[in-house]
This record gives sequence, C-alpha cells and structure tokens, in this order.
Amino acid sequence: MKPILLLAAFTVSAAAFAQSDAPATAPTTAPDAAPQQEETPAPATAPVVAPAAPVKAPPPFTLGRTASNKGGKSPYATDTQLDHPPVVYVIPMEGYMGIDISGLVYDKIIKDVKEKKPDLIVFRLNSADGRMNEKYMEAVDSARKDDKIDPRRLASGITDYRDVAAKLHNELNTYPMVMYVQDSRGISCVYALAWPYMFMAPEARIAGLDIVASLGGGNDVDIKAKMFSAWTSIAKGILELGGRQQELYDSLVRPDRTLSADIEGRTTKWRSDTAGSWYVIDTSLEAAARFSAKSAEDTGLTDGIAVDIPDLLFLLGYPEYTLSESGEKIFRDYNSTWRKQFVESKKWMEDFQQPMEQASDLGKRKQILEKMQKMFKQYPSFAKMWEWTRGLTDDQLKILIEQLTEQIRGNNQKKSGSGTTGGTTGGKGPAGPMGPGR
Amino acid sequence: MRTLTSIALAAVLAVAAPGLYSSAHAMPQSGSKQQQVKLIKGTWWGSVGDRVEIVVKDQLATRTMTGTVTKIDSDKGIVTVDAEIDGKKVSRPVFTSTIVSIKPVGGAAAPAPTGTAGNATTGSSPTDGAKSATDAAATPTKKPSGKVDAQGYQLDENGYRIAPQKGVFILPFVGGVGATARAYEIEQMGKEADKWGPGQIIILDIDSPGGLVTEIFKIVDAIKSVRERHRVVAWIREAISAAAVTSMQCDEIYFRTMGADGAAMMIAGSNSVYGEPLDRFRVELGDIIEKNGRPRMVFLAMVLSKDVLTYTKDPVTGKPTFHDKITGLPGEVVLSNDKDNLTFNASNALDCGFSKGTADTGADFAPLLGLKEWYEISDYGVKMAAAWKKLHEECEKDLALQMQRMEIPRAGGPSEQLSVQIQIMEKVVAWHKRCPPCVDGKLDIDQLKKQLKQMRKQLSDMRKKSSAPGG
Repeated sequence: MKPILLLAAFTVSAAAFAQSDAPATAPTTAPDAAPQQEETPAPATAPVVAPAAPVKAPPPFTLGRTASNKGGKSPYATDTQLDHPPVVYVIPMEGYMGIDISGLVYDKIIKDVKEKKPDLIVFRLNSADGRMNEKYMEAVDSARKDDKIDPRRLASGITDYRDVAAKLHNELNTYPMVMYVQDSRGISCVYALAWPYMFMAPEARIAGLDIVASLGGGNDVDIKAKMFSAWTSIAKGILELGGRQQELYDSLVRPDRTLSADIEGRTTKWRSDTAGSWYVIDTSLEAAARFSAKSAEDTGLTDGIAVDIPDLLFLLGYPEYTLSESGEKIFRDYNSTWRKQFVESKKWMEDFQQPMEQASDLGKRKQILEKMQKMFKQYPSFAKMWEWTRGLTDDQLKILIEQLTEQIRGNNQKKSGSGTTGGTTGGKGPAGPMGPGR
Repeated sequence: MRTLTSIALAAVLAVAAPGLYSSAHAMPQSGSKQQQVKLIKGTWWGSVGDRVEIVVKDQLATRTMTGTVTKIDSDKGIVTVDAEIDGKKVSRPVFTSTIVSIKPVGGAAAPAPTGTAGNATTGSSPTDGAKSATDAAATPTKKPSGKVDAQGYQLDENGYRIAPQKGVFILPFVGGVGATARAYEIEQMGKEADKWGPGQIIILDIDSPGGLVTEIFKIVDAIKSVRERHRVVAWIREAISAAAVTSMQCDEIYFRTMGADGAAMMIAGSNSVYGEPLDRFRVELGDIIEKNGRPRMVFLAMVLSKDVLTYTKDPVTGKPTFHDKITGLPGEVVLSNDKDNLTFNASNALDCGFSKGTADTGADFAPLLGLKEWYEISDYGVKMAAAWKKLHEECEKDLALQMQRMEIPRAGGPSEQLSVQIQIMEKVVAWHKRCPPCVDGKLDIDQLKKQLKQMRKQLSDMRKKSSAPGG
C-alpha cells in the first residue's frame, strides 16, 4: 500500500512570511500641543422667559458626530433620528477569510436580517491571517501543525470576498451600517475598509494588505506588471466600497507607494508622498502602509476607538439599545459545527494513514474516505479547510476511493481464485494524450 | 460613428405622429442618411432635414430650441440646426457633448433607448413570428397588431414584440474569454433583441479575468455588428485583459463600485508575448478602439508597462485630457507610470471620463441609461449564459477527474485496464461534442480519436487472443 500524501506541497516564498510587525511611523509633525481651550465666560444671569409654544421633544441623546459627507446611511443617532432605542444586529466576520468568513453563512445572515428588520447593523471584524516572521520552513511546519493557512492561499480568494462584500452592500443598503474592527491583518483588511463608517478596538490593526501584490507572478517585467495591476486593482475595487481615496488604497496594497496626510477640519486628504503636513504613515518603498488604532484615529481613517460593541454604540449616540444575537448565533452554529467535524476528521485521517495490518483494513479506509466525502459535500468550509491546509480535494477523494475499490476487488478475486493476470497492479495501457495508463 | 443606409426617416417621425405617417412604417426609404449621434447620455438617430427640439446644457442652465437639422458631423460631434431664436433665423452649430436630449418635434426624446428611433440594416431572422430587423426598415411602433408570436408576445404593426416598458437586455459575460465568455452569445443576444426591434439596450455584464486573444477578434466583430442595430453597454465588475478589450468595444462603459478594468498585456503561459504578434495586437486593436471613440493611448497603457497614461482636467469645463507622458501640468493625475500596467477602478475611471457612471444595482443604473426604472425585457441572455457556464464548469471538472482516473490500476487485469481507458476517452470525445472550447484547450481531439481507434483494436486483439485455444 502506497502511503498517501495528504500534505499540500506549498511553494510559499520566504518573502510572504517576512513582513515586519513594526507599527506605522509616528507623526512627523505632531500637533504642537493640545488644542487651546477657549475660556468660557461666566454665564450671565438671563431673564427667565416662559415658553411661547409647547416644548419639542429633545433630539436623541448623542455623543456622536453629525452627518458627514460619507456615502451610505449614517449610523449616528443624530442622523438616524430614531424615537426608540435601536435594535442592533451584529454580523460577525471572525476567523479565516473564505473559510469562516464565507459567502454561504452571509446568505443565511442576510435572510435573517431582512426578517428581523433591525435599526442598525454592526459588522464585527476579527481576522488576522496569521502571517509569521519565522523562517520559511519553520513557518510552514508550524502552519501544518496548527492548521494555519498560507496567507497567499487566503488572499487568492479575493474575487469571492469582493462578491460577498458587494452582496452585503447591495442587499442591506437600506440599513445604516458600521464596521467595527477588532483586528484585521492580511487580506481581511479589504473588509475593514469596505464600509464608509468604521471604528476600531484599541489594539486593532489594519495591516498586511500587500499580500495581494504577492499573488502575481511571471517571468518578465510586463507580465509581472500585468498581474500586479490586475490583482491590486481588484483589491482596490473592494476598498472603493468604503468611499475613501485612491492614494490610501494604493499605499495599503502596494509596497512601492508612500502615504501621508493633510488634515483640514474633519477632512483627511491622503497623499502618495511623504510631504503631508500632518501625518506620515508610510515612508517605505518596500512595505505597504499599515495602521494601528491610534494612527488610524489620528488621521481620521477611523471614526473612533471603541473598547467593545456597547462602547461603539455609546459613541454612535445610543446609550440604550437592544442587541439582536441571531447573526452571531447563525455564524457560530455554522462554523462550530463544521469545525467540530474537522477536528474529528483529522483523527479519521490519522487512522487512515496508519500502516495496514490486514487486507480488511482496505474496507475501513474506504469507509473513512466516504465519510470525508460526505463532510466535503455538507460543509464547503470543511472542504476548503482540508484543501487549503493539506491540499486534499473532493476529486482526490473520489480517485482514492476508486483506487481502494479496485484493490478490494483485486483481493477478493485473489481469494476466490478468479483473479486475472493483472492482479492489483493492473496492466499498463498505452500512452494516450492524457498520459500513459498503468 | 456608423452610418446606416436604408433607413426609414418616415418611421422615426411616425413615432411622433403615428396617424400622419401610418402608411409609411414598413417602407424602406432612400435619400437622406440617418446617423447615430452620441449625446451626454445615450444616442440619437436622425438625419439632415429632421425637425427637432433640442435641449442643450449651457454651463449650469439648460436651453431648449426648435429647428431643422442642416448638418450632422458625427466625427467632430457637431449637429448644425437652423432655428429661430429671438425672432431671428440663425444657423446654430451645437456640440453633441452638450445635448441633453433631442427629439422630433412633438415626439419622444432621445436618449430614449428603445423603440423610439433608429433602424436596422443587418441582423438575422427572428423566429416565432416576430419580425426580423433585416426584413423591414421599420421601427417598433408599440401599436398592437392583435397578433401574438409562438411565445405569446404581443406583436406590433411591424411584427416586433411589444415590451411593457422601456428596458434592457442583460448578457452576463462571465469567466474566461473564449471559454464561458464568447462572441457566440453576443451574436445570439443581438438576434434575440432584434425581435423587439432596433434600438434596444444590451448590457454586457462583465466579470471576466480575460482569456484567448483569438476570441477577442471574434468579439470585436460580434459587438460591431450588434452595435449597428442596438446600443451595447459594458457594466464592469471585473474586466481584465481580453475582457478589458471587450469593454472598449461597447458604446458606453459603466462601472460597479468595486469594478476593475484593464491589464491587457498579451501573454503565453508565464511569459509576455513580444515581437510581431504584440505589435499587430497593439496596432489592430488600437485602431479599432480609436474608431470606437476612445483614445488609443488608454489601450496602449493597458498593454505595455512602459506606456504611460495621465490626465488633466480643464479647470473651467472639467473636461479631461489624456496624456501619454507625465507633463507636470497642475492637477495632473498619473494613472499608469512607466513601470505600471493600467487598470482602472470605478472612481478614477469616472473622474477621467473612461467610465460614464457608477451603479451597483439595476435601480441605480436605470437613470444613467436614460430609463425611468429598471426593467429587464427578457431573461434570454441570463439563462443562455448560465446554461453555458454550467455546462462548461461540469465539463472542466469532469475532464480533470477523468484524466486522474486513467491512472488507476484495475483489478481485472490489462484488458479491463484498457477497457476502462477506452470508456474514459469516449467520455472525453462526448464532452468535446457538447462543449468543444472546454476540451480544445487541453487536448488534441483528433489525436485522441486516433488513439481511441488504436486502443479499441488493441482490446479486440487482446480478447481474440485470450479466447483463442491455448490463449
């Protein structure tokens, strides 16, 4: 019995893992001092005037900003003008892009949102692609052990991520929406910035989107330029959903671009150079721009820093609200179910790889593969996890099952004495256009 | 800009005054040539001698004037009108880029994309009783004739299907060019739209990473032919490489917010293609794209990284001008420097005028097209594209599987091995019949058929040998 190699033959370059975690550069021109407080004059004693008309209900309590010039429906209380505490629907985006954060689960969530009809939607993003600083082989070994996935694999699903983001925008555009970034590193940054209103957790990062630039390839300067341009533009297309500036997108996606900012009032004007009068984010021509929560707040990239969702809602102007948990539940139920099966399946496949003691083991192995096949069909995320961590695909399962079937059949023929000359190895067919038969 | 020859002017006017011109509907007219004129939004079909009402954008205001068209210079984009202004007869040249709408006096205004203007010169015979665009120079009248076609559509007096309202035909142009995104479907879509009469809006809903260069030239011809009868619009989600070239064949380009359009360098495997094939590609497609009214330098910057594209905007009019080198002019935006390959996104495409607008949904798109609301006249294109895509995907997946199955050792020995391999190859041949482009790129089908013949003979010999006495 030949051992079946299930591990993916990754060809990850060391460069893909080598990105530094260094934070963005500090402001070159920090504001000289805290804004000077205007002296508040002592209130004069004003004459009391009786109201001439019935007093209007006060506007909703808010600490939030007034409407800005951003696209999309503003989530701020001052703009939603609700006369009741809002029903807030949280849509989680947690785990691996394309696996946990998959289109399938959002189809269910979109349907649920439309039934629940909330007043406000909060996307909660927590997805760091696990890029490592260790050397290549250590990184890959570690990745295999811990089920970590090559970030380039994750990035390769970018057109799917684009379609999911577009679907969420188009299907839910009647609701005010806000993105809350708990952490975003790698390809998930396309979601962090795909909505106009965005808050960050204090320790959150938006970094590592230059992984997109590594998707290209080719042997000469023009094919490299073509692939680079195509992939980075697809990524920038997703960022355009957030309605920010091309200069910002360029610097996030392209290592060879710099970034600084001029800030006028509440408006940030991003520049593709280091001459910004307020803040320099990225001076390097070899690394893409990255933001900590602080640098994002300083430059106005984020609307604010919130420690958690209640804090975020408070900042938006909602001291009272009702949280709808069903989005979290749908997400958790789907992902925990297949993940549980995934843990089980690793044990199955360990059994599958044990040395065979007797011919009847072939039947057990076949059963294992058939169970795997069933799971692949039932849970697309399960299938993708196996493919992206170990290179096992549904087609390979089919082939393995057919091979085992033939081996079992061969053994049975031998036992019953009806075997033909070929036995289990079969005969060698002629070399056809699809390669030699065996 | 194209000129049509056998056009019924009377038919255009008949839309405005059906009672007066009702006898002229189906009569081919000779004489004055009708021309297509591009307006701010949409197009107008008309000819010298037409009496029209024109609404012109004049900075922030709009002006309306009524007069007779005396000259149409579609190359320069000027329509000259003899009009009476302030009691004086004047001859007034009007830039078509400033025309908001134009209509026959008392008629429906262009941009009225469907059915109100325009005539057909080419096209194939629609079936089921609906009238062909070729067999009459008439336009759709929308007046029910009392007849219905085999599909139950009401037909107008000229035999065209009557749509309940103005709308669009969508053709998803999805996947590999030459594989699932092909010229064939574009031609079929044009024929389907012909059933509703000339002047329909066909939207190529592009989501393609590119594909075969050979298919591009078929697509160029297909779109050119359909554009002679209809308005063909590109709606970009992803138009990379060959798909970018496809988008530039259309009358207008619109983006989705997340759209990307560009990166059209010719490649083979992991290498760029240089020399004569590339030179021909750049010249021939550059010529075509320029004829379509788009600057050649935009296309060239999508091909070779050394080709630069920048633009500046007139500070007063906001009109963008492209440059093929960095000029240093104030406000210049570099779209692609000498190391980059050009790919547009929605915002910069709109700002420089490459795109005419951005829309993510039909409801957003309708007003950009000059429609009151989004209405899909037929789902023919969507169904056709979906069916072909499904078949292609099934074929691709199964072919990959079958190739791996060839390798599996069979328990029944050499004759069974050969027998299974024959079955697999027969499957491949059957796939080639159903979905030729899927198989052609991967296998030499003629070679495979020869091989299959040999294998059948080999199997037959093997069986004869084993059944022979002592075998």
